[in-house]
Amino acid sequence: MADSYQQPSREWWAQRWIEVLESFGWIRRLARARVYAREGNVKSLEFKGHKVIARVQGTAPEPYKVTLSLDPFTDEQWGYVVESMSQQALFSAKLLSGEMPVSIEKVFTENGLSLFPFTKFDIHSRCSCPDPANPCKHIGAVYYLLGDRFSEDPFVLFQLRGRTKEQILEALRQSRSQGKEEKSEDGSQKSEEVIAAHLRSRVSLDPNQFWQYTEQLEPSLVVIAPPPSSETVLDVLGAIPLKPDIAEDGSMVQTSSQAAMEYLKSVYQTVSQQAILAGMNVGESTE
Amino acid sequence: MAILHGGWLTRIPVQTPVKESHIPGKGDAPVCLGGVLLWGETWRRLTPEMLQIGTLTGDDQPSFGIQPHPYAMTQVELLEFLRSLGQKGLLRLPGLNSLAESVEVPVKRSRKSQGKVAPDVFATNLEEVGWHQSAIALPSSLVAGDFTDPATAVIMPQLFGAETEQEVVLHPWQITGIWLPADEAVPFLNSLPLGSIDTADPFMSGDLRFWSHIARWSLDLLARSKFLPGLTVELREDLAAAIATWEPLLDSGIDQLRFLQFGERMPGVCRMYQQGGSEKIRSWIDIPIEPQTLLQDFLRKTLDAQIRMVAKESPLPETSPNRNHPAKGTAIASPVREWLQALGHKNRLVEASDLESLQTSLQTWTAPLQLHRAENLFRTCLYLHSPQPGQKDWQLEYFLQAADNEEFLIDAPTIWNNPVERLLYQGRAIAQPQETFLMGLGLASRLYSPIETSLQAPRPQFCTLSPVQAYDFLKTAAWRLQDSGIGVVVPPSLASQGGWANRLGLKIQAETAKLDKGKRLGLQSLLNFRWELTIGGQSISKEEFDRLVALNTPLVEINNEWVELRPQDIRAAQTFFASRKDQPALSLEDALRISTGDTQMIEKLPVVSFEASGALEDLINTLSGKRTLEAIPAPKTFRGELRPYQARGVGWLSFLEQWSLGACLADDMGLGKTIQLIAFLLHLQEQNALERPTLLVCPTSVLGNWEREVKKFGPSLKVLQHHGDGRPKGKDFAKAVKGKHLVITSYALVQRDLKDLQTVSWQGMVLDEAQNIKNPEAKQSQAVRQIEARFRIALTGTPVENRLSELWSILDFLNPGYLGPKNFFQRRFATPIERYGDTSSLQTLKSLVQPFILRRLKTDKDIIQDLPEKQEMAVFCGLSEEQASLYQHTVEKSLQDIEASEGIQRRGIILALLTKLKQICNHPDLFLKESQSSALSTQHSFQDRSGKLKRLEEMVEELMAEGDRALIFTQFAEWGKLLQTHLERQFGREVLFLYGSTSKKQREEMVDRFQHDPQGPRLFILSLKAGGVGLNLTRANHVFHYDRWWNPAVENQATDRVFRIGQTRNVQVHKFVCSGTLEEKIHDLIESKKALAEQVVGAGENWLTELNTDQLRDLLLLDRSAIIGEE
Repeated sequence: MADSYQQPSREWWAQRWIEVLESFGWIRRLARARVYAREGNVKSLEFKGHKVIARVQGTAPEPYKVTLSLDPFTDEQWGYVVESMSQQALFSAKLLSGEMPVSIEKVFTENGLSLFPFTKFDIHSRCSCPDPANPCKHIGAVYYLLGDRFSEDPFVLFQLRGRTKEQILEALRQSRSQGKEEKSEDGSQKSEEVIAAHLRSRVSLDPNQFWQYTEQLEPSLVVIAPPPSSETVLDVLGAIPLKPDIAEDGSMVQTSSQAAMEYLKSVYQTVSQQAILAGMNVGESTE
Repeated sequence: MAILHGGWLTRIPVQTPVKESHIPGKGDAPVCLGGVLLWGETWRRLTPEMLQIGTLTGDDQPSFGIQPHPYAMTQVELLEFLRSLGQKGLLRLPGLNSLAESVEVPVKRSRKSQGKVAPDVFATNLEEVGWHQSAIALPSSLVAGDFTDPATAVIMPQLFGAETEQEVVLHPWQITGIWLPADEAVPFLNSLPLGSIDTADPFMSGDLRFWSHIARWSLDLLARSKFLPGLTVELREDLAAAIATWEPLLDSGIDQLRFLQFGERMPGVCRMYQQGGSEKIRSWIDIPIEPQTLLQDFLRKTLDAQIRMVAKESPLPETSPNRNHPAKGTAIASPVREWLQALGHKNRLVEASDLESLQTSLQTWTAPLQLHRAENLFRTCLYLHSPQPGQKDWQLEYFLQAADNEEFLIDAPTIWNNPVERLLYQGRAIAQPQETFLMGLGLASRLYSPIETSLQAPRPQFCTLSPVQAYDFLKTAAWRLQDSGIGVVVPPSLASQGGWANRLGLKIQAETAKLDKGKRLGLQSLLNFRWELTIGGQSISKEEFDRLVALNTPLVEINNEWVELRPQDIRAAQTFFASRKDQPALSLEDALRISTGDTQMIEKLPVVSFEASGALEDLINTLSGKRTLEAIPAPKTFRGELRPYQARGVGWLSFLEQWSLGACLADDMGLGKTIQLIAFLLHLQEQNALERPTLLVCPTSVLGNWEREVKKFGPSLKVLQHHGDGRPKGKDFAKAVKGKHLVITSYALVQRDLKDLQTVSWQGMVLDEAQNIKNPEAKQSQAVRQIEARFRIALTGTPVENRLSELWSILDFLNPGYLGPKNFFQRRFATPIERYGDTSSLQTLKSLVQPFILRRLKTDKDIIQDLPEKQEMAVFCGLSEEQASLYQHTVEKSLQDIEASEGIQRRGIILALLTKLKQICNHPDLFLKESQSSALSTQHSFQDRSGKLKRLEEMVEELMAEGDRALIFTQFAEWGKLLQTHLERQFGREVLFLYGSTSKKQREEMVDRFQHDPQGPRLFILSLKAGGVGLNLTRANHVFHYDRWWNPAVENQATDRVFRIGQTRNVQVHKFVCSGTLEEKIHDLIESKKALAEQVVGAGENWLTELNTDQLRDLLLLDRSAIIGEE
């Protein structure tokens, strides 16, 4: 039953980002920039609001400073986007459960916006290097690293447009709640009492339960059996979203991620088998 | 005697003696790894002076401000204890044997020096063990002084399991034990027995038992792959270090529930270990650690340790497979490579750059499971509804469900109408209901795609499923969703996947067949029965069945209930229909099994309903306890009185006899099993149903007792004791048995005279002390099975249901084949119950055997009111050959001397003779002393040489199995000494002995120990003179007078040690008497003329000296029939 559910490909937004860039036609320059990025010349990359500020080691002793940003959406534009998102529970559900909804782009296009840059004029970049060309290879390297960032954390995309995932979730919540903060179904019960009863305070010591533990082993723990399906949490989660590796031909591949998953799968399998075996040998005498 | 403790500590405690190289923070020791501190507790006598601050604190630990736990075992004691447990197979601790051996010499020496081990001598050996010290706060009470004045306050900890009425406070104590780091602690915990049905001798304290259960859970988590690799930052020597960890994943509903429940049930002692780590032990007490925090720490660290060991052995692929360029394969890129390596490394450090991005990746990766990291009280739940009438589609409705109560559901409209931070609903507060709900739906849609479409609505409440989707949901998706922490509710008729109630099955109506005259029913008798095919509890005809099969869908609707139609059931039913001309056979045994819930399959079809009618209904109702048993009034010929519970017991025996079912009467010692059996035989006689003789088999030591009791209570029964050298054989035996009602013989003779015994057509066969056949392979166990009889009864006083192999052996004698062959029984019941504490197997076994075992305890409420507070019983014992010949010889020789003398000299000889005879009755060795041991003494074991001793041993074994304690009085101090040594060797437990030369201090200590040590000795031997007065020993509820002082007043005074203020239980007094000897004659004399006897005997034994020689001869001459003889 390994195909009973499909994991969304986590790389699609990273791929999409690179595709958009490459569609602008800077092929050769970007190829050099990619190597540059792989060699680890980007020393730091951080967000300041919706702007990306990076330090890239060039030929000069001091790293060059690169800033890169997209046009952030206005509050009004975000308002439309959140409004559209709130029309489908799917968006809140997926975002809350840590997934980037596959149909996210549609929400933006419906409102006449584009999450990804549409033309090269949407991307604003500057580099402190002497190379007058834009993008220079330092900027290109930052482009690529941002692609890696997307595969590690897809919500960086929102940030480039001026909102964090949390801000979006908060906005979605507010659009649902319209200002209500607490409600009791009958209104009469004092909230403090309920909360006191249910927010467990420190567990007190019971003198009658101080020394002895007389419970019998829970029946479901008597036999340590393999689970009914060979799927594990690894199958539920899919591959670890690592930044892609570069293959011989220069294409991006997920070899590290795949190898890591294979390794983990073999460990999981052995652990499970050994535990089942150990579970059968309990209490056997020393002979 | 001793209790083993094991506490989980989150950090390594102080090592002792403190070694420079092991000072925490130095070296590569992972300081935050937890483990189990193993230590022991044992009773010892403490006086306030000993507890005065400073006296118990050794010079070698001056730095710690708190005192050592006064009851804690020393290092030597602990190793000895662990080794003895290891030898019994109760635990496994690698390396223990070699360590324990290396301290063997000190053990012997230490006894001489009363437990004090000179540290310098043994330090080298003991040091290797890895001793650590920690502090533990325990309930303690003030024994002297005043809390407000620390200089005078003397505080004592509560001993494990001891009850106290004093006010207790928590006080810190220092304990020293063996430290088992997580990776060693797990295999140790897994080696402990999980079950605890026989609690007579517990050695584990609650903390250790609790953690052994949690270790079992952690194994289960490993088997189900409930863990995730992670990357965290930890402070090490003030520097942030990246650590690769394995974390438990408690996302499924069952694990969340276990987490809650185990947290609630954690015994308090677990939380009292001071988690100070390797810092100096402090003198203040921490606030008890939260159970859930401790539980979490245990799971995290034990899982991590176990997975790490596997990861260490699994080589990391250095290059990823690249078939085209094997040499040029790409290595796993940094820092993933370093992280994976660290996951299998003991020091766990990830040394690589760019870890932030890996951390981000891992966060994104596990984000869908984040909702389970926090303590979640509510979860999203999917509720499957079967189609509405006339509809085809199923509906999956969405709810929020309470984690601790499956029935607490909040529907989607309520959630959508309450966009609030916190919703108060039916007395509960739900934090962020919409977010929790949506988050769950997000995860659910990932696992089960049909949900995703429904989420395109703004406020989804359900999705619809086609019949095929519904089946798929039930079969595969439901499990995965539940396993990932989504609640799932399905229609009850579809819920129990393993259950039979809703499957295709058989409904059976049965009744007993009409019997030919003179024939009796038995377990194998066939019943008349009718059957119907049912599905979902409804009967269906063949036509309906065919119609359902023709629908060709896995889920069918029968009278508004949806049930699953399994292909294998359809096949079985078709076969069943095809072959229904030759009806399957159904025996009474099958009916019993079905009605007790053991077997439920006939011809591969489950029996979903079973109805009995007529006599069979009565039988089943009675056996299953639905109908209470009628008490049988005492037969007219019964000389005596039946207590109400005894009358019920007789009724029970005769009920089972009517059905030819074997019965095991397992009442506690002293409740009168003998009387009930006699009354039962008299009842048969009264009904004119006692047509043929009954064979009673008992231990040799009680042969005489039986005959005596039968003659006393049922004189109308004709008894034959088949025993001794002169017993009839062959035809003579057949002749002797003729016309007898009861033939009594011993286990040894059943085996020897089996052929003769088999020639008789017995009406019944009774085993007394049936634990004698507990070993099914033993010859006597085999022999008793080979004798045929119409009814079979076993009498035993041991808690037979807790000793599974004994249970099987007895039941297999009573109702052969009922529990299956031995190896099947072992596999099906004994192993799961004894090794894993499997309660469901235990339950099944109990309901299977319950109809055939009647066990009343003297502590039962309705029994207690029937019993007198003090029961006095004479126990008649035979003499061994050796005793008999010594006795006879001594009597004859002395009588000649007596005849030839007079006056004071005559008196002196008589008194000396009395003493000698008493000694012989006790044991030949007491009379012979060591020097003169006869030739016989070398051929026989010590206990076989004395009838009394044999009987005492049998009774002591029984009472100890019942968890009781006993005093044994003797007037011979030498005998007390011999007995003490012997009983200690036989039972492998300490036995106390108090006599004239016991010092006052030792005396107090013994009494204190007997009264207060929870695991203390259960047997206390006292010399009548030294122990007869002044002591308070109310913890015993049995008193044995091993030999007699012919003065009831003296005996009563001794008995009163037990029967006085503070005694809450009924007391049984057993007075030992050797049959056929002067003991019996004097006993009879006293019993028959109690009032007179007191006058006559009052002053002591002098009256005997006044008798003339003929009278003396009558009194002293041995009745040879009382000799046990050789076996």
